[in-house]
Amino acid sequence: MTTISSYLLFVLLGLGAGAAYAILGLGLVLKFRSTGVVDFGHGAVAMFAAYVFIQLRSSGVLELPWIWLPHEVTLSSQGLGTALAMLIAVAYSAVLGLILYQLVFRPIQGSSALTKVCAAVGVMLGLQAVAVLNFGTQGRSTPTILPSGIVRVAGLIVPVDRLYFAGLVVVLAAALALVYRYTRFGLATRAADENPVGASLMGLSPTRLAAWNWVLASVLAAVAGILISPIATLDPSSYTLFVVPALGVALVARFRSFAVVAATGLGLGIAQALITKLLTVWTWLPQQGLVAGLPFILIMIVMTVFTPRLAARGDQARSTNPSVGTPRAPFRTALGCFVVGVVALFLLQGSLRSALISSLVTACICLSLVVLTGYIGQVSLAQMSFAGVSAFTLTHLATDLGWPFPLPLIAAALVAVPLGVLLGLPSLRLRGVNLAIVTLAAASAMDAFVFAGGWFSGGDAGRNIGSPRLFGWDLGIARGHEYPRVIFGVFVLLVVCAVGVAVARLRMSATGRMFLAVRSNERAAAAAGINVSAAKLLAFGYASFIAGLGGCLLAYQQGNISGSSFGAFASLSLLAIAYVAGVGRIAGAVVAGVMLSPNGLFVTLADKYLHVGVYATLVAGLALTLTAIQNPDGIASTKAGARGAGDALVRLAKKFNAHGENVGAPLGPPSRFQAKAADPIEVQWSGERG
Amino acid sequence: MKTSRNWIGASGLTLMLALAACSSTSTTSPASSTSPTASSASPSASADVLGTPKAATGAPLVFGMLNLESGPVTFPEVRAGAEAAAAYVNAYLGGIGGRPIKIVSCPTDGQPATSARCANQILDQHPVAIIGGADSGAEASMPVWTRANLAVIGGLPFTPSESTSPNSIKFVSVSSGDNAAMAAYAGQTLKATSAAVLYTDNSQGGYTAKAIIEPTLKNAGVKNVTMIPVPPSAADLSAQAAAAVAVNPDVIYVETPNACANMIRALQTVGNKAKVMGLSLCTAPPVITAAGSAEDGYLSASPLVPWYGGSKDAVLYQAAMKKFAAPNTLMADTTAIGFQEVINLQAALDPIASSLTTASILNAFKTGTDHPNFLAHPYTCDGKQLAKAPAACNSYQLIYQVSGGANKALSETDWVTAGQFYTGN
Repeated sequence: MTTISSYLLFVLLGLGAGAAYAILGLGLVLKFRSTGVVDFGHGAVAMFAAYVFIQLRSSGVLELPWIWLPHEVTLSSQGLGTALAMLIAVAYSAVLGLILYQLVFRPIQGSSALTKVCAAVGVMLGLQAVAVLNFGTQGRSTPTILPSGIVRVAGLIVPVDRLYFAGLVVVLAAALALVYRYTRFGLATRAADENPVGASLMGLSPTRLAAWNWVLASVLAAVAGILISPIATLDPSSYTLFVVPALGVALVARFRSFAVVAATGLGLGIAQALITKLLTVWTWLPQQGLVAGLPFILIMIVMTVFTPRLAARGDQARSTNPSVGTPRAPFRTALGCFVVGVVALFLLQGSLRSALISSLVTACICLSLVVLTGYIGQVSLAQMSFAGVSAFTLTHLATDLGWPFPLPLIAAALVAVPLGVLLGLPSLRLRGVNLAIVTLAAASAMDAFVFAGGWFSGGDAGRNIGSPRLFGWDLGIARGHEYPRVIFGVFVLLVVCAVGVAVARLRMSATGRMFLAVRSNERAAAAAGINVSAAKLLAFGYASFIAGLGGCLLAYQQGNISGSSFGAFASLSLLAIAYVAGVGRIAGAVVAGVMLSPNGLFVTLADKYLHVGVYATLVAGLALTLTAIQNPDGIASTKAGARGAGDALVRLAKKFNAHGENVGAPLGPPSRFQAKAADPIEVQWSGERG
Repeated sequence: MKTSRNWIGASGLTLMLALAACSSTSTTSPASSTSPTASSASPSASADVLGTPKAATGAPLVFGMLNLESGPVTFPEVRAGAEAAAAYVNAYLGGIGGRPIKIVSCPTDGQPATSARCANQILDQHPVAIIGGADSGAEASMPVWTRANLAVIGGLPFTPSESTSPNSIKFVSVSSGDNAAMAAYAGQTLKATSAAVLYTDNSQGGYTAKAIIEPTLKNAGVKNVTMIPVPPSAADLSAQAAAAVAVNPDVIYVETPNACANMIRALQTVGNKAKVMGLSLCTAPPVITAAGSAEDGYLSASPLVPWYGGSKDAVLYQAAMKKFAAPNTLMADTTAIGFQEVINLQAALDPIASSLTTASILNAFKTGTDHPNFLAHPYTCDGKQLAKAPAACNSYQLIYQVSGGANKALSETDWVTAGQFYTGN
């Protein structure tokens, strides 16, 4: 085999993965163009469809997407035929897509980018959690679907199905491009995409069009998921994460061009295959993470440097940002919290005291999101990555170099600042959901390069960190058999209260008002003389420092840290709980830590007495989606004027009735737009183009 | 959408309560029609294999257990095996000194923080000792056990400190001992001189590949070792498989625990001619079914004698699982390891039941040599069984080969170990 032809083999082998990325990317484009939602749960839908297909094919059992109610329907005592199983799984996915659209994404159509991101992440976490509970996590596999013979191309043995995959992608992309250019449905979708209000005045129903596009996209997700099931191991997390490369592909295509999606998807697959080959030739290349991480680094650079300013879609988006708290007397509040916290630390024992300390640490990391997402409106899906970098830096400074406390704590948190500013650079060009994608790509790249092993993160054993000591005074969480020690809790409480006061002072300062101005309208802010770029970078730096502090506290608390604490899913879950609790408020961060954190006080109590630990992810996903639909301000905002749950349910019922009337209305403009017409002032920064 | 509502919190709580009410009836073990389950384990096993009933009475002895049952990778069958063994011990062996074994467990998800929380929750229940489970977050729970001065007995050592802590006892060495023995076998018995190692590119996969397999292969005489990382969520493994085949190795080592079947099939697709070997996890019945003929000839090392076979231990194991485990419990090596630890625990602690302290418990295992080890090679806890893993009491393995859709031991008596070829790290 000549050198050139051996590389050609890898080009052809890359088509399999490339096709999966491309087909998922096409679905993402359909969803975005019709609703403005970037569906982070798209990979999870593909995952679910693949499970349904495999179950039907192997045992004739139809798996329904819920738990604890009966979820297995036997359609046949033995496995169904491949074509029939595929047909049912695709139809299933279409129905699932329609239901998800109607229940989750339609109600948030006019919401802010943050709300949409959170709803999509909630769906993703929920579907993944149901899959883990119903199917387990052992990888599944199934016999081939497409003809699996081999062809000889220029003396190479190539599995023929890879060529079919590539052909399918080209056909699908061409078909979608033609549909969008020449059919009434396609033209109408484009019209609604360009100008929803105009389209509805023309008698088109953007919601109906969106529903159809959503169904089509779900069908594509199912096709991708099913076709690659014989070559990719099916498990709940791998498939769910296929959305990351697919998002990158769709982002390069600016969520518009089907041809670019197809080409980029296939190109990404080929690039990954070639890197795999090159790793065995150029042994000096860093092995760790290169295949998974490099494409995303490239995407980040391309998106940051070479794209014109890319505005999020959503011309009709109202700026329903989460409400922002107005701290009053931060010092007195902090003092009160401190006293309550110390009393709680003394009263609680054992696992509950540990849980309270965990809650405080999570609250600290959530405060970074309050600054970044709550105050200045930048969505980051990489906060745990910053916390991780600081935590590992701390272990190197304190354990290896022996720096005296508190130097390593402060230095390690400062290390996160330049990283945060670096990640903030894309925010100067990208907004809302596009920024969320780039930060998710960054988190994935950090997973692959930084946290998957190596000297910095200590590999499988993780890294150890000793107790902090101040003037010979042991502040550590453990001493001998004493664990968890109150003194460590007090130390954490002190840091969190100090950060809380700092954030409150920031909110009330000129800088805080500047952040809020940027959040509500960048152009207006710029016109008022605010340096928008500087404000954003400052916020990223500030938030990274807080996340870094939180990461260091986590390291001191655990005594040993490993990369798995700081993965992309950890960042997603963090945004989830911060958002559910109320990302615009300091109280929200506290609620997130105490009530919602998987290791926090409330969940520990619930698990201790009710044994519901295995449902934590599912509950987080559902709560996130429900919050996004119903209550973008989060739990914390209801503290003042809380009303009973019954009242809320009545309001919810009314709301659904109102939607119900709308569903049947043929091509009529939905009430949302009518309501909007009466809205005198619309803040439309997210609608800026070019 | 501007009105504030607090029903989310209320509904979340209601949901949790509803889930709790139902959790006792739901099952978290993967139910697959292709997996053998406890009810189908052995039709020939009968109740008399279990012996004469001798029920334990009195206050139960509490043992804690952490096990991966949530998150992306789960092993619910380890706990199922341990609980079935405890039920058998309590009904037929009179528990430990007449007192029944009670296992209190906490489901972990691979996050160290969860393992630390779970460990603290277990401490609240004042356990006598901890029974090892399968937990990749164990680096965070081991310090908790050490601080509380509790012994950790058995389980699958997934993380380094489980194999090094003085309060830890491991009856089998999986992930270190088995891979080291297999790598040494490649060089010494198969006389391979070149190898390609396909490994999952995450912290555990990278550690096993670079700290255990690669150095042992080289020490055992395999001169050329090509390392090929496989991304944890790869959509297509054929490029990695082709890269392995392209270096023309004598053997290809598969260390992709969650992608066994597809990797083995991908190797066949790209025309592999080299011998394929690797993790014993890749010989679980569902994997063999999925990989089909591509897995014929696959070699692996396992610390267990065939639990589905006809040995005395295996017959007892099958009968006890049939009687005491839930009908759809997955039957795999990991299930047998869960069962094994409780049987060994009972055997060691029953004679000293009147004075159970951490020191006396550890002493019971660490004194003497060649203690009977259920379904495995006898164990000796002298700290010298596996290099730099003083907690490993046994590093002996049997070599298995897949043939005609079944995984068969080449011999049930020829125990192998990596010996001097594995030097630890």
